[in-house]
Amino acid sequence: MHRVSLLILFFHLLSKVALTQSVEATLQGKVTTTENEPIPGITVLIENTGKGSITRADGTFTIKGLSVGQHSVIFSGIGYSRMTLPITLTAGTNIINNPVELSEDVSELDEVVVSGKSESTLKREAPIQIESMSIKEVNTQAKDISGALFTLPGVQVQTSGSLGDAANITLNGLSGQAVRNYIDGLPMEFLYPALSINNLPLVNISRIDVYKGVVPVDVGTDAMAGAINVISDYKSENYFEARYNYGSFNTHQLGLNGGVKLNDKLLLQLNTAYNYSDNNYEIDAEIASDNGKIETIRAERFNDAYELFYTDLSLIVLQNSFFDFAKIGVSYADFYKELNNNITLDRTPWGNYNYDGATSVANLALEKDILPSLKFTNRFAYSFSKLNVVDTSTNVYNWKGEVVRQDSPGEFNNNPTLSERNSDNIINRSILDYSLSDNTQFTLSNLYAYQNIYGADEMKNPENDILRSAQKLEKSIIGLLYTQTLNKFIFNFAGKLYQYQLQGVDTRGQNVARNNIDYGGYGAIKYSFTDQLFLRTSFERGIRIPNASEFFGNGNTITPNSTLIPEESNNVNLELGLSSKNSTYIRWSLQLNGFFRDQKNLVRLAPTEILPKFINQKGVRTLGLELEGAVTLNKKWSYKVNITKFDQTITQLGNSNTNNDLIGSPNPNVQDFVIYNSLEYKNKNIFTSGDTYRLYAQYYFVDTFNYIPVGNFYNPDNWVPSQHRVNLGITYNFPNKRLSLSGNVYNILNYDLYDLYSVPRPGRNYNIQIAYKLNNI
Amino acid sequence: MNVLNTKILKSAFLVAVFAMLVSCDENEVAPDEQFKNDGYIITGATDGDVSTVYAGYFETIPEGDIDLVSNATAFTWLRIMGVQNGYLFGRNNNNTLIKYGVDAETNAIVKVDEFALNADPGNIVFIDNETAVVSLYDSKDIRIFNPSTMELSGQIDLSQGVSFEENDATYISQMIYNEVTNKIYAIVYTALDATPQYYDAEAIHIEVIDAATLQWEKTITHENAEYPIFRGEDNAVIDESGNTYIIAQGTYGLDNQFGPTAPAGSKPQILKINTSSEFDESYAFNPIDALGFQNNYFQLFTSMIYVGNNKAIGVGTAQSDDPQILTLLQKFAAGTLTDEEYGTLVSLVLYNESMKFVEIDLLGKSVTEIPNIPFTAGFSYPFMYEIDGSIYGQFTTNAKNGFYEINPQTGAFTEKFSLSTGGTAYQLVDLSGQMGHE
Repeated sequence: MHRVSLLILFFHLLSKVALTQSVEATLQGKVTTTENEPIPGITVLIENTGKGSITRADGTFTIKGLSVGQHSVIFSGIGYSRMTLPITLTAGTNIINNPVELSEDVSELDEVVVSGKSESTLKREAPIQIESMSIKEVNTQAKDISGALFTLPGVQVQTSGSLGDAANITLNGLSGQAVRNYIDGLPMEFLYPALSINNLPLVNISRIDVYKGVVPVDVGTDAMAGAINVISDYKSENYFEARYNYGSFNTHQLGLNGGVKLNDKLLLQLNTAYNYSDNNYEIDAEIASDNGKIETIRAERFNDAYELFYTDLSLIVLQNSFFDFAKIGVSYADFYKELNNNITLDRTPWGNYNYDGATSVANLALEKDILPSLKFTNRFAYSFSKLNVVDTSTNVYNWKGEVVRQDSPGEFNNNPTLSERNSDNIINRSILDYSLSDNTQFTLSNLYAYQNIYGADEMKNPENDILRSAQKLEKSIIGLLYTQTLNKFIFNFAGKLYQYQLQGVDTRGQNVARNNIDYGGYGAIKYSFTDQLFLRTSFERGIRIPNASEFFGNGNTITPNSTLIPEESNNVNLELGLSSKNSTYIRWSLQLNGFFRDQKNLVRLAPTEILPKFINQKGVRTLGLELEGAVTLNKKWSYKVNITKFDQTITQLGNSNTNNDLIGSPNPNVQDFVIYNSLEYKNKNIFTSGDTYRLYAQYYFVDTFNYIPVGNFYNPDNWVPSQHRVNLGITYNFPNKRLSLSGNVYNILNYDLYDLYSVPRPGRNYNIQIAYKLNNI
Repeated sequence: MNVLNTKILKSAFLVAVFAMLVSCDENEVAPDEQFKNDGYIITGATDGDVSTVYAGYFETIPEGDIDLVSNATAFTWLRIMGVQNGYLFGRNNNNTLIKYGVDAETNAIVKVDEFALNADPGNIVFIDNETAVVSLYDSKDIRIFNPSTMELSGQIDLSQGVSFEENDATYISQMIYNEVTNKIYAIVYTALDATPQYYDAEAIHIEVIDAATLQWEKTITHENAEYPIFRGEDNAVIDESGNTYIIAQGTYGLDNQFGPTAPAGSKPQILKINTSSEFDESYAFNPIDALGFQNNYFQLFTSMIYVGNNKAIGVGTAQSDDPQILTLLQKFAAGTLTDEEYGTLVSLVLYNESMKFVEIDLLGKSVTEIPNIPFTAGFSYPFMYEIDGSIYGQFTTNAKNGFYEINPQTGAFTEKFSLSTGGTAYQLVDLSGQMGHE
């Protein structure tokens, strides 16, 4: 009731303010290529106002609430030359008569923009730190999103190496679920179990925004200084795209996208993907002989296959009388995955464990400029998911794939499982953006999420089967953001209200009901000394409510823990950015970012438990530094280096008062020193006029890190060795710009690579890709 | 005579040359040179957020506060189960029995050899330098191995012993080697997954194995006793005549039966196996009742070590029920305890200072507190060791944790050492001892 009153007051004030505003101007236009093809996703900024927009699928844009008079309009986008256009605005609507033509910049074809990319209109001017990656070139290099993310500074990705497995992403020392994943601003939990950040098909994705430090209220929910937002794509034309990847380990990835422009305001779009892999790469694994002697053999993984089918159908409505943009869609994902080992690798692989499931989603997105200065956005999704786990085998395997004996049923902890876990999910985000003036904006955001989990395990006595009791989690996060521009300063101040209700049963079959309210907020400031030099800092008190899968288990290998409490984090970021002036021959940039995290009740997976579950780790503090440098020569050569180093120490412990000597010691199991280098060469007209090609080499170094707190003497069992990964690749685009071929060699030097818990990753492996697209059919 | 001398000289020369060749091989270093064979290993365990076991080597048993971490090798888990010829035999929760040595130059504890099992090892009994047996945690299974070569060589056939087909887990919880009777007593534990807090049998069963032939002989049974597990160190309690004493834990009050009228099987008991390897049916007593806490709902009697003259030192509940523990235990027994309350209960049981070291008169069936000894918490259940005639017992209080040194003749005790780093004191192992031979 109290919140409703606040909202009414807020809208009342907005309407009052709107009516008393001075005369305003609106700017409309269209951006195309030199070949008159519309370009979506171009940032259009009115210099020194903080006002801007992103071009729509048909290349058009609208910027409202501008003051009359002379302005400079800046057009920029990945892969295109930046352009500045002087313009004089008069009261009312101003239309740029001819399309603004941007020429393709071959040197930027795959550029990861250093800062200033988000769906917010305050891209480069934002006082918060964002890394943004265009997917259009990355998807020729990477098999999945995690394979693309690791190239970003401050981002560490740890995966098993098996296609379809989950990834653990670390941002500035925060890891696991503390790094929230979103798709178009909606938390990805509603896509579980079929889809996650790592196995989301690389179709229909425009770009990936990575927020380090503060996550803005219109994207973040209960994220804590780290979030990844996947932005989906659409085109306002008839088009068809097909992509096929074939790689080592019998890996096939097929993507088919198509769109039909029914009329100027109605688009129909269909995306389909199919992924399959045997994941049968070779690893070093232990095997025991009859007399117990242990030897390490080169073993081929054998129960790790993955299959995914995904499709979505969307109807997009542009500029109708009710909404400026509307998208209604349905999607379906169906998957099957086998599992060869638990979180850690031991001598007994699983030869029969498997799970499958499906997620069906209906979603609706709406955008409307209610007033010239007031924009309303709403995204809603309902999903139904099911997960079936089959673990009833009595076979005990060795790493040769042989059945060595029989045991009680169930390969995971000798507890058989034949379960079905269903979940109903509702999620809704509403955003109001209000511009009080050119320099003052407000954003109000609310995210509501509801999950209801239920099912049954046929192998359990119904009285002891907690799946048979419904588990419900309801969250509401409200955020209010104030943005102010003052000459060379931009300020952000935000407050957040977090609320959740939990209902269910714990592992002992007892009813659990809990609700909680908490508060957080952030402040961020950016000061631009010149166009080439800026200083940016932010502070945040963040709260993260555990996910349903953390409270209730994931229905698979993670067991429930209803005693979890929300984690808290105080975060400080300080960043200095320096870049060269525009030059056709050489451009460079340098960024130095310091970060501090003070986390309480950190929710982390405890793999050493007999039954892995999430626990609250009482206190951890992180202090780190990252450096990013990039240089481009002659628009052909580019080199980039990212270095991240941080120290993470234990500040508070849990149950026992006898472990206090651990306070101040390094927190184990974190990759605390990584270096990423990439060198790329691009050119055109190699075989014939109009073709383009691109060569790249990546080198990724991860320093050795320990599993557990270590003593004075070195014990190799406690350490993950240092890792060196070198990838090479080439992409060739035919002159007609329809057909492209790519080839990649991963881990070409065949170094030993490991995931978080020292499970070996694949050695040298390959893939090739053929892609074909038809635009403006 | 000359011929004989010549042969002897030739033989001696050949032996000397062979010895030189062997000693010239840089890779061949005799174990006793490469590894320590005396001194002490102290381990400390951290729990809660981060689980680690620190193990450090000390020439002598240290005194006062010790910085274990700066002397230690760290392990994800290490339980030392046996010592033979200066080698430590332990497990790391990876279905492996590992043989460790203490590097003579660095004092680091290093893996020397290992062998794989189908489950985590439970207990070890060394018969001699080439023969030992190890029990497994998840099944009623005892394997024979050579501790020198660390190779499995066979399995003791227990198929004629007791079985609990209806139960989910049945295994050997402890093995006791009695040199007088030359028998191995393999104590059987059994439980249902649905009721893991209970020992799911009406009586205690022990498989008797002939140590000379490693053949199963018989099963002996003691009615009206439950839960035969020694907490803490698995010391064998065998008197000079060869009688063996074991602990039955009872049900910790979880059957809701308490007080003087509760069945004996619900509460802790000390039982006796005579030299004919049969239970002495006339011998059974509750050490906590004997200490004067017969009205307690919650009674805990964990470890026990024999000190001679029919006396043993043990650790047990030595105060009236803690009301909070009592409340939680009653909810636990009624099946209404939540996960959160269970966490509280475990924490209270492990860290509440409610137990004391006591002396047990095994003949007189009486129990008395070690005079003036403070309360200790039940963390991991106090471990006790006999070293050079003294008893070393692990203690945990809110202020510190370490080992007491107790004089078994006089009952006098001193706080020998405590850990300033390295978590909670866990084990104290004499490298020159023969742990696992009991």
